[in-house]
Amino acid sequence: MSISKDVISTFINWLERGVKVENHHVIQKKLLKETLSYIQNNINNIEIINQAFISQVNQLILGEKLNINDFGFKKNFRTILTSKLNNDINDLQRDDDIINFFMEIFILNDKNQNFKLNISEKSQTLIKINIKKLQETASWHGTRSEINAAQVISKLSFYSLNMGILEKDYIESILKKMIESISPYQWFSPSSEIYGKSFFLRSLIFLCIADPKHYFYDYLKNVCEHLLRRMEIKRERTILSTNDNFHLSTCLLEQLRLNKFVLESGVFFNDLRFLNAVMKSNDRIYNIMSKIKISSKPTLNNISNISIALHYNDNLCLQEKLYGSLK
Amino acid sequence: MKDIKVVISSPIDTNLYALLVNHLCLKEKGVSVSGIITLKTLSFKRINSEYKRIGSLLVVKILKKLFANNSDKNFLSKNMDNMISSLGLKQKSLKAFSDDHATPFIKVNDLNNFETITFLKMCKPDLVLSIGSTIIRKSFLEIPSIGVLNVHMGILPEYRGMGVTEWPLIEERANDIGLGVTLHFMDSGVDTGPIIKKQKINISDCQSLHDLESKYLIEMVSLMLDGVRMVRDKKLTLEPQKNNEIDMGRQYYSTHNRMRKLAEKRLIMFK
Repeated sequence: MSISKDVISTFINWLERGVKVENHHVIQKKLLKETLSYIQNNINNIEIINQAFISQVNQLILGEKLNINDFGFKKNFRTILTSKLNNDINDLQRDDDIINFFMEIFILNDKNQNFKLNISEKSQTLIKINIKKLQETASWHGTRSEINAAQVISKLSFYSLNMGILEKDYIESILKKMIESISPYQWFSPSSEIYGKSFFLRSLIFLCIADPKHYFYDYLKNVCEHLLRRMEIKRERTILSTNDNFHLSTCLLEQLRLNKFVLESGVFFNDLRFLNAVMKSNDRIYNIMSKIKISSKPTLNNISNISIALHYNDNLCLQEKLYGSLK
Repeated sequence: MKDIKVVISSPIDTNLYALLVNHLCLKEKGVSVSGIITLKTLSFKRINSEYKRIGSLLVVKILKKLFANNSDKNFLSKNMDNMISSLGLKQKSLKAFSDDHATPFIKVNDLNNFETITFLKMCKPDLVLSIGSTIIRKSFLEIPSIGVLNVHMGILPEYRGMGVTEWPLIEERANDIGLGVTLHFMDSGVDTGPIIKKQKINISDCQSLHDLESKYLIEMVSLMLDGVRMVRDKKLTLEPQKNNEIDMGRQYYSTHNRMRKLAEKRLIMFK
């Protein structure tokens, strides 16, 4: 009898072991190693955007710039980016686009915090005309195209605030108009599509961190409370997977962005419930993360996986920094 | 004076807290148990909803319950053992109580379904004593003439929700808010109903969270009985909770293993 109890007890302990932080670190290291290998094998890629991407990734991981034509960022890349924002603004909605990946990686890097893209007034006007068109239809709870428009505005707002594409006041007015059409309780209602909302919410918190008495403060607090409830009660592995028809890597990336937002909210509101929720959320995605592989081929799939790896790394670093400060 | 009629609603037939409350209510003058409701342990709906909520940990929960029900003393603290024997609790299930005292008894799939509501109406209770943390809907809440009593494992209004034995330790608020239990009437929110009484728990002699949690059961049983007596003696005083998201206490959720370890560490340091 005592032997069987011991067996059951061992079995319970095994089931309860969960995911340890050491398990995360193993995956984190493996993915960073594969990413570095990707850089080494693609360092001679002559495309400006690839050079820019590789350089940013390298700087993010190793803290040093690669000596590759100063990645043409100052001249060529600014031109590419501006042209994209002027002409193909709707492409921002997609996650399978190297410029999107680049901008996200660029923003992840603390060293780029004070960067300003400084695009011409003419370009700014063109982008604003495009935004105005999108604003006419943008809605988080509308048709496919209306949701897409809201997603583009969200991304553009976030990129703008972090890269100085458009003036902060202008972005604030766009965000203000958008929150008037959605109550804090509708953001994470079970039927709503979540993809793209991380950008919008991270824009709100960006502004609130800069000004803690910001107009968005109460609104943001209520949205955070509802997101927390959604993460804790509906414990889907990635919260997008049940309602949205996106590719797994897109869902995973958005989940990681939301996790980052939740960690930032925890710091901003001085609330450990958010850290607790992210620790559980990161554990839930562990199995998916452990299956990700980055090869040396310059494919969009590898670039997407690098972006996932870097977001995961960023999340874990912040999570451990916050948890470490509690001891 | 007429007896007050209580119905006991328990998550499982063998819940120790429910057994003790039922046992003590039967001993209490001026109180009669007019019905017992328990949830079916093996209903598909329940397993499915629990699986969605806690995932593979459901297996752990079931195994632990099976283990505890086999009287594995490792799962019960000495305090609880002493309490059980000193109170003379002999029955091991609510069904056994029902058989011994001819109390109407029902096992249901859902506390809010038609079957439960019909049974509850038949019992005509003044009070329902809610054991466990199931969400109860308005149609259920409206039946008892006085209300549904619940003892929450935390201090209200500050600590609503789950994991609230650990959160005051994690947030280093064990000194100002304290750890304890709160007797309150249930409403449709999560631990938002009017507060009747709070009881703080002395944590100075706790060596672990397990020690601490075993103290909760004793206090919860005692507070639930206080509530029944207060209703019987018409000595209720209520403290309504503020009904807006900003003023209301935070809602907490279950803790990650590492947060639980932190709480344990802080419990030991607290002493």
